Amino acid sequence: MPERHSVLESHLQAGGRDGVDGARSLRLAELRGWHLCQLAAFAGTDDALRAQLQALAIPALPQDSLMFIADGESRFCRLAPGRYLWAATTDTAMQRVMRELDPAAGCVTLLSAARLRLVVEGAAARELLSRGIALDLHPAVFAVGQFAQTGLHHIPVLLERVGEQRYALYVPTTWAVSVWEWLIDAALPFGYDIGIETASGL
Amino acid sequence: MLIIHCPNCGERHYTEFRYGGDANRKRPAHGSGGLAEWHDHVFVFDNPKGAHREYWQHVLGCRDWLVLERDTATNTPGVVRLARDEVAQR
Repeated sequence: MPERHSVLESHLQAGGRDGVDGARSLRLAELRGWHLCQLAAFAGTDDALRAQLQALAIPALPQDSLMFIADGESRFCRLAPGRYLWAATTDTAMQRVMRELDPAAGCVTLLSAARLRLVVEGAAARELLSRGIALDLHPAVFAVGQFAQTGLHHIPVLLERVGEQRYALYVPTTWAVSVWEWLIDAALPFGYDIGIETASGL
Repeated sequence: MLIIHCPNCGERHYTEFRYGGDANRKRPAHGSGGLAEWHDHVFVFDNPKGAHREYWQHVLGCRDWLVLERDTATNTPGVVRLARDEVAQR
């Protein structure tokens, strides 16, 4: 298995900056040490896919497209009818499903190298994201655990509210530098620190 | 401002979508029709004022294709369905 290198490596060494009031009310970080895959059914095989995953001891897939469902070291969300995202701290179960899933029921696409997971955290996190994402991020509308597939800087991203003041962005690897640079520019007035996190739990 | 209600993702700004053409037009079957028929299908479009059924794709969201009813005069959106559901009912 090739070692994963971050496209943000040099950008993460740049360090943070104070905001206009001298404070740093944001923390921007890359989250490492996690795996991702997409599970997709074919037309009319969603039930068969669910049954096969259940037989492989994979937790039940979500029925709606609003919330991440967490189960131990795994998290699932429903991207569209018959299409699911599966994030986990290890890829052992993903590899097993890839080997054992009946290809007539659906397919597994490993995306671990295709996405970066960025963390935006702090008192100004919501305001920062609201400057680039056309969604109402008020906690009454976009609650903790909820996710949305949307666009940031014209780039498709998946946004998840992980905590009251903590968000995760799943960004296509090839566009990660562009998104990061947008985040840094937008964070300048607020002040920010930069970090690297390792996923101990998702 | 046009807000489209995606059946999968909820209400979203139209800039998350890509317009995909008139949903009432039927593509000629492969291997059928003359050059004039194909020319008209590819290049000649109606420009209706009022109610219109059209394809949109949620490119920055779930990437599903939708069939949206929209008033072209007022930009008011109406019923929206997944294109896959429309096809399944044909």
